[in-house]
Amino acid sequence: MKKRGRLFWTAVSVLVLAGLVVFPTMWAPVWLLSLAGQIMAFALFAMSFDLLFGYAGVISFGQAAFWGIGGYAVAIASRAGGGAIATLLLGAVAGILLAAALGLVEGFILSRVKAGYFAMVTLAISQILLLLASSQNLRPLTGGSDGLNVYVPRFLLVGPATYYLLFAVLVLSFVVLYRFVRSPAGLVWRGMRENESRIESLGYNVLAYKVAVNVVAGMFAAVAGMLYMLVIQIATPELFGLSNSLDALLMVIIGGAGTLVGPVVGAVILVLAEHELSSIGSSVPFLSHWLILFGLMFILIVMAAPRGLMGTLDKIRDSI
Amino acid sequence: METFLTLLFSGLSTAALYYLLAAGLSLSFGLLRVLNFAHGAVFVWGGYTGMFVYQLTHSLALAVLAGTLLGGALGWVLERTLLRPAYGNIVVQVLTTLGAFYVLSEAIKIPFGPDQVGVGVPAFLHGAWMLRGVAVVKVNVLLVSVGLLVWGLGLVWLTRTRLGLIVRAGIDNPEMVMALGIPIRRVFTAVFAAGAALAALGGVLAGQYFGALSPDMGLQNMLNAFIVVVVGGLGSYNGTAVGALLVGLIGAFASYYLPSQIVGAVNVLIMALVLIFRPEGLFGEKEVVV
Repeated sequence: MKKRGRLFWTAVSVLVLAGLVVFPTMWAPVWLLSLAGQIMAFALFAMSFDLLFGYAGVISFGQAAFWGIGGYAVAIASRAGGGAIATLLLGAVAGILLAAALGLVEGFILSRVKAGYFAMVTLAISQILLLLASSQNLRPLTGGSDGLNVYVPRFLLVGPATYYLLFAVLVLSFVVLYRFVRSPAGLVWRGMRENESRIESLGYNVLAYKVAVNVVAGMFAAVAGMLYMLVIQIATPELFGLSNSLDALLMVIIGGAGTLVGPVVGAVILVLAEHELSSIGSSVPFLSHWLILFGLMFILIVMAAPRGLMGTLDKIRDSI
Repeated sequence: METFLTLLFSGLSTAALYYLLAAGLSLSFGLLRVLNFAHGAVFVWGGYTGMFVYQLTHSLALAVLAGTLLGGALGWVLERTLLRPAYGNIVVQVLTTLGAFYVLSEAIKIPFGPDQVGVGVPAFLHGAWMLRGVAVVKVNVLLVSVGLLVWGLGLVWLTRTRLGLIVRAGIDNPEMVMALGIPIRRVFTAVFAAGAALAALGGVLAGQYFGALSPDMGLQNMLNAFIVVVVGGLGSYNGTAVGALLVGLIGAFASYYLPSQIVGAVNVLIMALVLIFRPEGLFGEKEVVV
């Protein structure tokens, strides 16, 4: 029974992946590719958050800080180089390093404080980055509250090139993250989530593991922010906003925390819903306040189905 | 000297504003062990209610009353619906209160719009008195007096009344209080509602202080209040007051001598330093479990 179930899921994933590779060669309107790109960027962002929240049990309300750092790194580099690939890559590397540095700092804070405090500190840090990005004094660098246009290299504008780049990065990141959470370190992270003092008394260096999970999650979130820039091609201070951190949280919680696949499902649902609701909202005034619906949905899911879609599916399967 | 005194007064009034927000946060944390991320939204709702009632009645007293009552009611509803089912589960409480923050902050935009709106200020609060070259802004005097009044009343309530005694005992050992047959859950609701009422009162006064309100001012003020609470020590009554003074005064002087964007960072820097060298805050208990 179990073996057959596994075969079934493998077949489904292979089919889905193949479908995602093939469909742009047959039918690829611009809006669809852009929507798919947004979904993939958010999927990676949510996966990075799942590493933190779902596996290590860390609540952060400021994951958007990394997302914004990645986005601005690419935006600034693309303007400096006029879309040249070399500067863009340089910017990407700088963004990842910056994200790692911030992850390091936050990781040390995390090791000093308890859960609720950490949520607060990360929220404050992302809020400061938002203020800095929109400040008048830094306008030459960040474009102030107007933001920065992103110049995408020409080869990425040909057909579904951006789509395939994003798809490749997403699949690669998934494999890397999957290896991470299945590694001995992943086991320690899950152990920290369940019982931190137990892990500490087993002789593990909890501080090092906390710093590590923050750095890794931050780096992947920065990469996700970069991918997002390639799709929407403008960096605004709102990248750092609470709504993006909350989006990641919502995607992870809807899809199922601690599953890595769940956040991807959550990203598909949420981005599609936002897209649909914001277009319906222009004709049905009530739905233009769809953010409220999202918030209510978030509260309900946290209270009623904390394991999310994938977790609940697992639970149902286990009980059958 | 004149500059110093002017900055001192303006710092004291921001300290009073922070205090109104932080007192509720700190008290609900001390007793309920809840970090309430919806606090900033209650603040904004209080502010808008005050503005609306003042527009209708041109009475500041009614505006303050309406805003405070609405805040208390919101707190009551939040405690009953979100917190009560999840005591002991910090993750769920932190997540649901943040969700409530989001919903409330978006909902206030339906009647009042997403942009900044001007707030009516009664004539007797316009302008400032000049005392030997030092500007004493009238609104600031109001803020500081309300802050002092709330602090004093709270102190009397905590140390001289039966309910205050229960609250102090509950902060130390809630199980023992329950074992004595005191319905501590009802006290939880009351304390949480009172904290929310104070936040809403802060919102009404913030409207008077800034002369304007916007839906997103809740987040910034809530973060400052969190910083105050962390600096003073979660759950410590006088620690919160000292924290508010410290953050308010440092902010006032920093905004005079430093570019404005750095001021927000200064507060977070203070918090980071306190967390690194004294994680329990200046006056907090040693063993705080969040």
